[in-house]
Parts: sequence; C-alpha cells; structure tokens
Amino acid sequence: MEEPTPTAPFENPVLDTRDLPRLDPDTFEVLPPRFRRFRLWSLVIAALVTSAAWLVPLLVSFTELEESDPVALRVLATVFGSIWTVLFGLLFTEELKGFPLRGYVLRDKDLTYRAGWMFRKVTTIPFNRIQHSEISQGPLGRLFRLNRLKIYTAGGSTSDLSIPGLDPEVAVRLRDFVNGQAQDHA
Amino acid sequence: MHEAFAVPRRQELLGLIIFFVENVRKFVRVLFGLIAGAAISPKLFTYLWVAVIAGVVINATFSWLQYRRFLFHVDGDALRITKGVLVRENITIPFDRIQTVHLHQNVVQRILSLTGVKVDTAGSGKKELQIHALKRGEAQALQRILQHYALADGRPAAPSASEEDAQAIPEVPTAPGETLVELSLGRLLLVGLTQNHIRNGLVAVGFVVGTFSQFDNWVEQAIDQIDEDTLAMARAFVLASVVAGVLVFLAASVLFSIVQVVLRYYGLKASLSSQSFTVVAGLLKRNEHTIPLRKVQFLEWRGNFLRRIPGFETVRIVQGRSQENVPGAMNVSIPAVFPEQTARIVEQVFEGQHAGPAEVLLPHGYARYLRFAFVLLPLVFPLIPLLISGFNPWLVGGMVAYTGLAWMWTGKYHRSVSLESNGHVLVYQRGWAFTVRTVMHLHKLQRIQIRQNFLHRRRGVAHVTLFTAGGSRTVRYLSIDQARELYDYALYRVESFEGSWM
Repeated sequence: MEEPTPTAPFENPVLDTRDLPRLDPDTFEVLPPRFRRFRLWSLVIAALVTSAAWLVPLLVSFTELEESDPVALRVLATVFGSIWTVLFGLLFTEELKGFPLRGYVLRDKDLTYRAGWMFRKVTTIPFNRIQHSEISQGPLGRLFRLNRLKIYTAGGSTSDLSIPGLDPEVAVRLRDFVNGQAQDHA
Repeated sequence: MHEAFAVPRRQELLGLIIFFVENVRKFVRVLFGLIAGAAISPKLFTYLWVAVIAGVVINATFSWLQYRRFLFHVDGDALRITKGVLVRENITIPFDRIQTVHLHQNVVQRILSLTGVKVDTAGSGKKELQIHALKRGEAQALQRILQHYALADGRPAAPSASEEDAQAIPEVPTAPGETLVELSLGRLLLVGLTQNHIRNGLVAVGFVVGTFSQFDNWVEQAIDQIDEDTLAMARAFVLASVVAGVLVFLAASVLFSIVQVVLRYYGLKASLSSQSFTVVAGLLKRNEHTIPLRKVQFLEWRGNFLRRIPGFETVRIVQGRSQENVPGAMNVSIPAVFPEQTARIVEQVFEGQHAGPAEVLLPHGYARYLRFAFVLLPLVFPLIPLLISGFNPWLVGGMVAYTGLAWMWTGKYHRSVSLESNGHVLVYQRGWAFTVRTVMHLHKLQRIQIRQNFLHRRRGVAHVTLFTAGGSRTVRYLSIDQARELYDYALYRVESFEGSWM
C-alpha cells in the first residue's frame, strides 16, 4: 500500500463546485438565419412529398373509378392525414422552438454544442481530447453556403461532435482555432 | 532485440498453413449451400467435387501469394506492414498510436507452435492488424518493442520529441508482477455455474438458429412432402415438447455457460505489476494480453445473485479501441475476483487516488416510478383476455403478484444506483440481482453530454453520458442541478489534467 504521492498532478481533492466555471445558457452563439431557412425548406419539401400518402387516396375517392370503394379510401386518407398532421406539426414546432436553442459555445478550453427542444442534447469536447477535425459540405449545403464542422475524439466513430449550418468562413475559423488549441493542450 | 525486425521480412514459413486454413474456412462457408444441396440431389454431387478441387487449388495459390506479399518490419518508431494480393496495402503504425498488442494462439497455431500478434490502434477507425505466424520468442520480443512507450514509464512521457535515437529503445524489464488470479479447475467450474445462464442460453439458441437457417430451403422442401395427418401429429408433439423444451433449455444453458467459460478461461493466469496487467487464458485458443496500466480507460466489475454466494465478481479491463461497435474485442475480463484482489487492482490502477471522502449523487425519485410504469407495460397483454372472458382468479392473481414483484424489484434497483466521486475517481454502481460497478479516472473522459427530453425538463431530471476511448456509460435521472454539477466538474478535471490520457 502506497501513500498518495504529494507530487500527483492534482492534489486538491475537494473543491467547492459553486466556484467552478459553469456553462452559461445565455452565451450560446446562434447559427445563421440562412440555416433556419434551409431547414424549414427541407421540412416543407418533405411534408409535400409525404402528403401524397393521404392526398392520393383522397383524390382517387372523388373519381368515378370502378372497383374502388370511396368510403374506405376516405377512411384511409383520414388516418394517414391525421398521422401526417401530427408528425409534421411536431416537426415544425420542434424547428420553430428548437432553432433558437441551437448553438455553440467556444470557451478557452472546450467547445460545446447544444440542440433540440423536445430532446435536448448538450455536448462538450475538451480541446485536449481532440483527435482530428473535418469540415464537410453536401450538395444542398453548397447551395445555401453552409458547412458542417465535425470533431473527433478517441474511441470510435460515434465519439464526436458535429455542428451543422455554419458559415464557411466561421467554420474555417472555428476549425483553425480548435486545432490550434488542441495542439497547445496535447 | 530490435535488429531482428529491422529489415522487411516474412512470417514463419509454416504460417502458410495458417493462411490456407483460414481461407478454406471462408470457402467452406460459401460452399455450405452446395453441400446441403448435394445431400438431397446426387446430381449436384459431381459439381461439389469440382468445386472442392478448384477451391483447394485457388486457396493454395491465394494463400501462397498472401504469405509472400506479407512483409513487416520495425522502422524507427513505427511498425510497417506491406500486404495484399489484389489490393496492395502499405501500413505504418507509429508506436505511440498503439493501444494494445496481444499474443494469441488458435488450435492450428498451437499445433504448429506459432504465435500470432494482434495490434490495435485507437481513434484511427481502422481495423486491428494481425501478424499470424511468429515463433513464440519473436512474438514476445515484438510485443515488447511495440509496447515499450506504454511500458517504459508508468507516467506518460512525451513521446518522439525527447527520444531522437529510436534504436536505443530501453530494454524494459517485463516484470512478471504478482499473481492476481489463478483459476483452478474447481474455481473454473464455479465461474461457469454462476454465469448469466438465461442470456447465454439465448445466445446459444441464436447461434443454432443462425447456423440452421442455411438449411431453410431444404427443411421447407422436406415439410412439403409430408401429409396432413403426420403434420397434425407433429403439432401435438411440438406442443408437448414446449414444456420439455423449457427444462432442456435451462439445462442446456447451464451446460453452454460451462463450456463457454472453460473454452475462454481454461488455465487462466492473471498477474498485475506496477506497469501492466498480464492475462493468459484459453483452452483451444490461447490469448495472452499485456495491458499497460495507463492504457486502461476504465474498469468494470460485474456480479450477480449467484456469484454473491462464493463472493466474487468478474472485472473487465476496458481499453481504448478504434471502433465503438467491436463488441469487447479488445476488452479483457478476469473472473473470480474476490474483494481482496479488487482492492489490489484498484490500488495499482488508481494509484491511491480512489481514497478520501467522496460526494455521492443519487438518482431522482421520479426514476423509480418511471421504471415501475415501464415494467408494468407487459400487463396489457393479459388485460385483453380478461376483458373478453371476464374475471379469472388465476389471471388476476398473477397480475397482482407481478405488480408486487415489479414494485419491489424497481425499488431495489433504484436504491442500488449511486454515483460517487472523491474528485479524481468516479465510481458508478447500479444493479441489484445483476450488479455493475464502473470505476474510472475522471481525466480519462473524452467528451461529455447532457440529455433531457421535454418530460425530463418538467421533472427537472437529466441523463449524463460519459464518453471514454473505451466506450460510454450513461448515468440516468440525475436531478438537473446534480447533472450540471457533474458535467462542470468532469470538464474541469479533464481540462486541468496536464498528463496524457493514454
């Protein structure tokens, strides 16, 4: 049995947690309004495409097709329609309420990303744990000039932080800062 | 000892056989359908022979090329491998990226007295690398070279920069360490008997079903030829078999557990030095793991109600790994660990930092009611026949008993959950019948996350997920204040820690 060595890298076991730096909910940087438009448009397109599920049976029920039962079709349309309404109602509410919550905080020693209204997630990666980072842009992202910053830590592909909807310039600046800090802290 | 690997070289010539056997195994799996077909149709039999002969020739050629093209050597601070028949690969692994190196011997390798070396790197997303066939002494020498950064110094040294002269790798005395656990045959059987049999039984059923599903077509054809009367009799037989089946299932599960444990842990010898764990075990396939203590991401003790009688647990040593989804491939477990050994492990790995007054976080009371409600969900099924056929004392009695049991069980579980930390080391304990205790250095965390859905927000609770390079653990239903406290504190620990995490 060895006594705890006084030269241990940290030797102050009990701290008053009230003195610790806290993550202030008001300091989050919001994402550009362009990203909000991008997300809303994506949602509108998804809603229009999936509306076929109830629109088609409804329209068919008004045509004078033989072998079709208009009542059954209308019941089907009502069921699909209500599921569709509830689903997209929730998604739009989530988008409207959730977007202002989306954001990141850059602190001296870590990067935090927060997202979600119904299911909220706050993730922090300390700079001294970053393995590598990546900026990616899909075809739609190119259209809206939006980049995604991905940051990886050790322990597999899921162990990462991904910030979507960044201005390309901001994404590059963020990445450079993060990489610089990661090098300093490594 | 470095010179032996200085120039690109091949493996032992006998390694050819290992490549060949491995290729044949893959080939047989492909042939399975044809073999099954040949069993019912003699015409296919001729094709089978042609396929087998062609397969042997192709496999032999392929294995020869694989063997010839596999070259490896140690170049300065890195292991370099060139391999591949159709696609050539050049792989360089710097020593300081290496997470684990372990030696293994399967049946073929044991017959040929060859040893394989497996190398895993963290964070690269690439699969582990294997050198299949080396003489034992060489394999051990290579393992020592590859792990010397991790073993040279208990403290994380700044690699590369200070060590210009890579040839002058210090000869690390591989202190054998003191024996931690040595499984006798009796102890081995005890470990087997106290496994989680139901889970193992289900795994076995899955395995059998998976294997036999390859014969599905054949079975269907066979059934088509049977007449209705025979089928009706078969149904009665199946029904009678169900009862017997449950009993057989239990017996088979116990047997399966024992076989599994014997295969895995036979002749287990685990030792612990101030630098590393060494674990050697296995009946047919022997594995030899040396795990530098600083590569350990966290430790997890698992117990169950059966193991409480002899009073031991299994400890799992979790290391950093390249892929989250490789299930425990690089994790090493030591069974039959008694409190005395646990104390020694904790003392060595956490260097005395586990002691001292600790703050305890407990889950919010809401969690208990939520779990109870969740466990009650299956009651919906007996509720339907109850509504249709009216009051049935047996059914109602069963439901009441189930509810009572659920209330007791969720209560016991709820009270078993606790999170303790003295500021350096975190101890996360949960489980009543099946206990799990995770112990980790807070500074080993890679990232941290708070999750909260809209229901949690109304109750003021949240989940905190702690991610390490060896996987993540989630602490559920902390009050939001405690969750934030844990979050801020863990971040402070990681960010103020100057050393390396691996």
